[in-house]
Amino acid sequence: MSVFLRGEMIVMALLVMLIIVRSVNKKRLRLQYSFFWLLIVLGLLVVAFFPGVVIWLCGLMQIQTPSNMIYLFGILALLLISFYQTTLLSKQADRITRLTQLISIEKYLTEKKEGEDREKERH
Amino acid sequence: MTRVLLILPAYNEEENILRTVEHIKEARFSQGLQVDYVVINDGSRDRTEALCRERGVPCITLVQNLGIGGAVQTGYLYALMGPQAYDIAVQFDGDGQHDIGSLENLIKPIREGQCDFTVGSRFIGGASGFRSTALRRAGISYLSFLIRLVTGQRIRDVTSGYRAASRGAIEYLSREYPVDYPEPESLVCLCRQGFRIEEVPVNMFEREGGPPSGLFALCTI
Repeated sequence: MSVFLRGEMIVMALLVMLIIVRSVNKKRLRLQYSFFWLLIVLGLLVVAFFPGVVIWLCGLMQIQTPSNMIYLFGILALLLISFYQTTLLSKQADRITRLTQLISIEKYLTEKKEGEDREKERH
Repeated sequence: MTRVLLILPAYNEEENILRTVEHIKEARFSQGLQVDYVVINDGSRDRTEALCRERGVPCITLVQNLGIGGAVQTGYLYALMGPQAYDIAVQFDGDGQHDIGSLENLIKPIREGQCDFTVGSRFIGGASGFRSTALRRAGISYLSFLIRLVTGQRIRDVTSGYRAASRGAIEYLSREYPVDYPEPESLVCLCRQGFRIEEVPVNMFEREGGPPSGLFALCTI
């Protein structure tokens, strides 16, 4: 693996880490969701500092070049994240539905009660 | 006294909703039956809500559009946690397709404790004048076949939106109600939970006014 690629990876990893830490501090990202991204940073750093690991894995998995392998894992990690996000999205959609239903019912009951109270006052 | 709540989901039904409600008001039921109704207005953009307000029709307006599944479930929730506890909840389309005259037939098996959920069917008993187009009937029998494969139970009018639920089924459906194709899917869910389902012949009409919305077109196949 070229020194240049390794350098690139280290810079990228540090940049991503900076963004994640800042986002968590500024409450833009929940801590619980930051771990997965930090894991990716960690992966990048491991590969950059110990390229031997990747080369060994390449041989094991019959992949031609280490960079291909990094792309492969990158894509897999992103797919995993988007799948996880879709499950989160579904969960939140369910919660929003429930909130909408409860708010709508409460609103109806409140308005009905107000209407009845007004009727009573008139009589 | 059996308390029954009619749930009328409505999405842009200004042309039909009042007529549907009138039919319900005019209907006379046998003794020991209290029938209330509530319109669930699924964020209509037309005058559905205004009309209901003017005429004093009980109408829960969803603060956001939820689609037919979410709207019907709101009705089940209301039957459960509203000011009055209901023994039976009935889904009844706001577009005038369903005949209120079939209501007592529909809820009879539940009142008698024979089953927990009934599906009003156009295809059995020869009671219904309207039986949908050939293409839709083909779609329905395919769905019916799938449901028979999955649950082993034969239900013919699986997309019927004229259905009644017992207290137990209300509790379950208010917790979990499928969103995308709610009618057939909820039958599978109910079956899996061990609820007893029965199909009852009912009468249905063709839609009276206005184009069927995309939402209802799908669900009334």
